Amino acid sequence: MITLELFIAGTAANSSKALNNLKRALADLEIQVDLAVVDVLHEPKRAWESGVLVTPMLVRRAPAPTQMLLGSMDDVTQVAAFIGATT
Amino acid sequence: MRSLISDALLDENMSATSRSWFTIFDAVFRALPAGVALLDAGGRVVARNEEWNSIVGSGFDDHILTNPAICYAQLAGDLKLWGQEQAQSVSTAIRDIVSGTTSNFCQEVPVQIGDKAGWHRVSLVPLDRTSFDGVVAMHVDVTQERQLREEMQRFIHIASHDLQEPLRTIASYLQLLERRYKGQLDDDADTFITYAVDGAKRLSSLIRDLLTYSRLTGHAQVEPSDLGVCLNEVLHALEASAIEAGAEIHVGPMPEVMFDPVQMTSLFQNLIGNAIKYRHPDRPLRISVTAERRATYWEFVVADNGIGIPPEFQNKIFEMFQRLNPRDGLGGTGIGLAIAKRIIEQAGGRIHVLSEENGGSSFHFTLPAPPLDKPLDKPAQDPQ
Repeated sequence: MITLELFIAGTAANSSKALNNLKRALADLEIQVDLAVVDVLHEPKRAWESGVLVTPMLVRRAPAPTQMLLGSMDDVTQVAAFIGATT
Repeated sequence: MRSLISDALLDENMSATSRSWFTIFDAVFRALPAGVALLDAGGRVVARNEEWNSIVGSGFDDHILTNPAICYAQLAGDLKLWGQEQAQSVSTAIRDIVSGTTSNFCQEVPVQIGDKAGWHRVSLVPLDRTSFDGVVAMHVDVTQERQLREEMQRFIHIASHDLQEPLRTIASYLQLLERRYKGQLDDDADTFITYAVDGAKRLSSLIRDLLTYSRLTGHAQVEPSDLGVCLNEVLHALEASAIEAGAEIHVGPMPEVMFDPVQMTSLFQNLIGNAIKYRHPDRPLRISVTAERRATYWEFVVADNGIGIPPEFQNKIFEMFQRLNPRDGLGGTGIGLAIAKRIIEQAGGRIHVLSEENGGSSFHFTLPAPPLDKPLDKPAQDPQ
């Protein structure tokens, strides 16, 4: 099971872009993904505890190891590779 | 205290390369002589350096955890660093930068440091407009700098006032001599008096220009200024000499820019004044002032068909007291273009001249502008 957390800042431009790009990538992938979207403006404590410095930021919790992808994720192929990466 | 590296990220899973980069950036971040903090899109502090802790507030950690969603500007207000008015204006600036309606913010803000009143220069810049929603906030303590600047200005003001006073006495008595005794002494005496009067007048305008130059030392007041309005003022002030010179002045459409309107006016006054002063005796004077939008800046051109500047002088004219012909009798002080250059460089722009001897001159200068991919005019209000 792939577990993802996307940290965004409300409806800020790059955060919205990242959310859309991620959804697009997931639709293409057709695999089972557990995605949690965390709005750092509403849940700052969760962002704080996860060490999120900037938004948007995608964290892959599982499978291990934990990895991060930063930025608005305009490159859908790169996002797909990040999500599907097994190493 | 939390810095750039958070324990949550710095676990065994982080690659060695990423870890090295984090360590390097963290070292740079810590070493900066300014209080720097990374803010999220809501203005919350997510990381900060030591200097920030010491000049903005070390009480932040507790407050962040108890008031997690609060903008730092408001928090700084609650911690009595500054008043509600300042908190409001910085909060608004953060919101505008996140939404993209302004490109940056830089202002000197009154603050309370311990039990003393002081000043911080607060700069806010977007983290990376194309990829991230965050803001970098920087605080520099400019209390001492401002004190020195104010003392210097006071000193120059008093000095120039005290210099002007006796000078005025000298000039008026010389003029009195000229009026009453012209033609009654010998020719030499008349000439000497004329030289003395001219010298006094020049000294007086030198002192005035030095005063103007010294006033430019400080940070300019940044506010929207309509350059069309500035130019109108300049043309009005120069009307008499322009008519006398038979000048035809063409002014293209001018934008509104975020700079000190008083300085912009003085800048145009210098450049257009020079064009009138250094006109060619054999042809009617033509001056054109135009503005063109480039990707990240405005380019302005003030062009004339005057006497031009020989190539070997084209770099020197922007230095103080560099005049082509010190005794050309054209009544300049040699400070005007130094003032112009200082104004533009303080605004983050550049100035240079293109000219041919006898072929006129065109002064080109730039002023930074928000990148073109954003709305240039009044931004549409965010629906939220």
